[in-house]
Amino acid sequence: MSDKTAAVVGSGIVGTAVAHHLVQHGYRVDVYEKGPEYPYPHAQPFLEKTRYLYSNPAYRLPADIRRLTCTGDYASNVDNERFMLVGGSATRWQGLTLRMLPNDFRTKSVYGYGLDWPLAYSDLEPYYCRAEALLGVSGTDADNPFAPPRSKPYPLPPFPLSYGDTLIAERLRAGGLVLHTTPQARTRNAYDGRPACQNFGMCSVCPIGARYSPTHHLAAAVNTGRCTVHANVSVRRIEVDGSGRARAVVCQRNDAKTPVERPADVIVVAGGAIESVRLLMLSSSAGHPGGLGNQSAELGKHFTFHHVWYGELHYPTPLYPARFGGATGQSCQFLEPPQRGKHGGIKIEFSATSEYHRLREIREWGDRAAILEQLRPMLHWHPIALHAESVPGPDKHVSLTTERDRFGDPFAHVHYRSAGFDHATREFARELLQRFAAATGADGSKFPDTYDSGAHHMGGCRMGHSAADSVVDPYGRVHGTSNVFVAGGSTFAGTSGAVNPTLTMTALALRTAAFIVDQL
Amino acid sequence: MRSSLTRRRVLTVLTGVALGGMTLWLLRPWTRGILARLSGRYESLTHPALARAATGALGPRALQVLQAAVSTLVDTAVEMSHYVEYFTWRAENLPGYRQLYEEFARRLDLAAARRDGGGFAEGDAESRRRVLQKVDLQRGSLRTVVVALIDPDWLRFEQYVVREVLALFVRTDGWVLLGYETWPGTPRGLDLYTRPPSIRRHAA
Repeated sequence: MSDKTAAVVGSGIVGTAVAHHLVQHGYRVDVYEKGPEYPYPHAQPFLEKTRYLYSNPAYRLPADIRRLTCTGDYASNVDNERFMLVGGSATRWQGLTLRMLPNDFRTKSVYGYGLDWPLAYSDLEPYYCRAEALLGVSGTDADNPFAPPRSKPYPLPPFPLSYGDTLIAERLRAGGLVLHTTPQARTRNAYDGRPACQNFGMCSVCPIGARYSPTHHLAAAVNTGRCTVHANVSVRRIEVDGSGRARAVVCQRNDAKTPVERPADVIVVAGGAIESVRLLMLSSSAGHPGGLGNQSAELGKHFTFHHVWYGELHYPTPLYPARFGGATGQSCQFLEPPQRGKHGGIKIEFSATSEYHRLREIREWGDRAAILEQLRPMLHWHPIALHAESVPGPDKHVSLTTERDRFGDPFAHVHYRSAGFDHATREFARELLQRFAAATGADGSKFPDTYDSGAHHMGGCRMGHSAADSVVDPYGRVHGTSNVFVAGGSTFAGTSGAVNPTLTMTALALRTAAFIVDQL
Repeated sequence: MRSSLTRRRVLTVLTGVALGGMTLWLLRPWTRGILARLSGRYESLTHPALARAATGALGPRALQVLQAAVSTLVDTAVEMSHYVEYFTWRAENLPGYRQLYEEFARRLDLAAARRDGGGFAEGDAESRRRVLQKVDLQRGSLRTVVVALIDPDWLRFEQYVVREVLALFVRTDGWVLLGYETWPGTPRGLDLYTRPPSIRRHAA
């Protein structure tokens, strides 16, 4: 057991994975979260969302702490994609947990685009297994011929396809297309103190903890007596001495007048891609003039979103979608398409979240038949999400803006503009949508004009072997420092990958945590 | 002579139009501001905010009238418990709702008494529907603007009662009306979703 201390900045799925691991190995851990507390299990937020249709402002960090500015062509509000509270964005995620493919880590050498990672799939594979065990992933690869190799089975059996997805899968099979089950951090059976899923359906806020929420392990870490979660506390900078050793984090309660220094033996930055870049930049000093790890001026670059198009297919007969809260059917058949390199790979998801239906509203009331007519389209329109990989580039980066938060620190600025590769991928997505429409007998389809990030932000603190072209080493240690680490999605080195990135972020976090325990 | 006057008139009109256009162009920052203010005024008129008032328990009469209003709005037999829970929670937790619901019930009763001589909840479906026509306010209609100027409470009722009841209905009983076994938010188990839905009588 160790008697060392760690400061973890950010309490999301990455920060929690690191904190939980360090606590298990005897560290005393302080987790700093600038956002408010969020009760777990999320029964009260669930009631507010589903029964009272109430968006509780208590769970929203004030704008003068959380804001950012944005330029480019991204149509959605990036700030709103971040749930800055205890547990982070994964308190409200859909819970899909796919692994990236071996070739996703070497797109440059295999396909000629993006950058190769400084680690291979085989390096990360054991940590994928650990991440799946931590999150309690239900799944199987038996029906997915495109799944990457694995050394251990999934911890839990899969969720079978829904009735609608089964019908779609049969039609696709006749056309040579594959729809398979979806690995997800949702308990098929009781697991690790979490009950089995009961299919409440509003999975973005699971009332019983069946869909994994980081607060589960955060609570477990706190219960050991060696972990403290400091909610409503903003870390403003990291103090690093001339030798490159970090001494402390400088933090401030959101309602306090002055900051305080909190010493730690090791500091792990896990604030998400945008805030992690910001914190390293705010930690500039004479020895680190452009911010920590920024000798190469690469800090904030190699930033990318996941590109997701939420389309719809219309079927003449009703499929009764959304009888299961998560996604059951998806296709990894096009993660490595023949033209990969000219455009990106795509994962197709027949998602049927209930939120989709909740967007509908009725305008005519007082007449049952008229109401039914307004609702009936729900039965025939089936959502289809096309998740694409995107490449970093000169028009995608994070920096600091001139606007300042309540403490006087500059906010982050995100500049994001799609590149030619992204446009080509969009056309491929459109083509796939039509192919899936034809194969499944859809008589109508919608493809959106704009993409969505899926709230997946990657990179900005790219990992690499050299301080000349990256911010952190392959274990997440910030170049030029001995005990400052960046964990999770910020360290993505190549493309975004086409699959949902959260499992990869968690695996990277566990790899960083294991390195800290073993090597420091 | 007439031809010369016509030409002059045409020139005058063209000059006027040109000058007017130039003036508007020069004053565009101000005209933009005026339009924005007018638009803001319209918005505040037709989307009146809920007054902040004390939270607290709803009286039985208000709950009775609200339930009668739900039945009339959705024109379908629904289990009232989740609507009652909704109204009760909002009245007890969100400032302004208790006062809103009490006032809504009082005004419906008043309108029903004027129309039929009885309370709103006691009237038949047709009577209640006619009373509720007062909150059938389409955005952008002249009637909505007139109501906003004369009696904005009805706009509040439309926005914070009627729309919210319909939103709750769409998320709950609307699913059953379509033929689903139940709605998201209730534990549905891991078996039913893999089988064809057992179509309910509502979905006919």
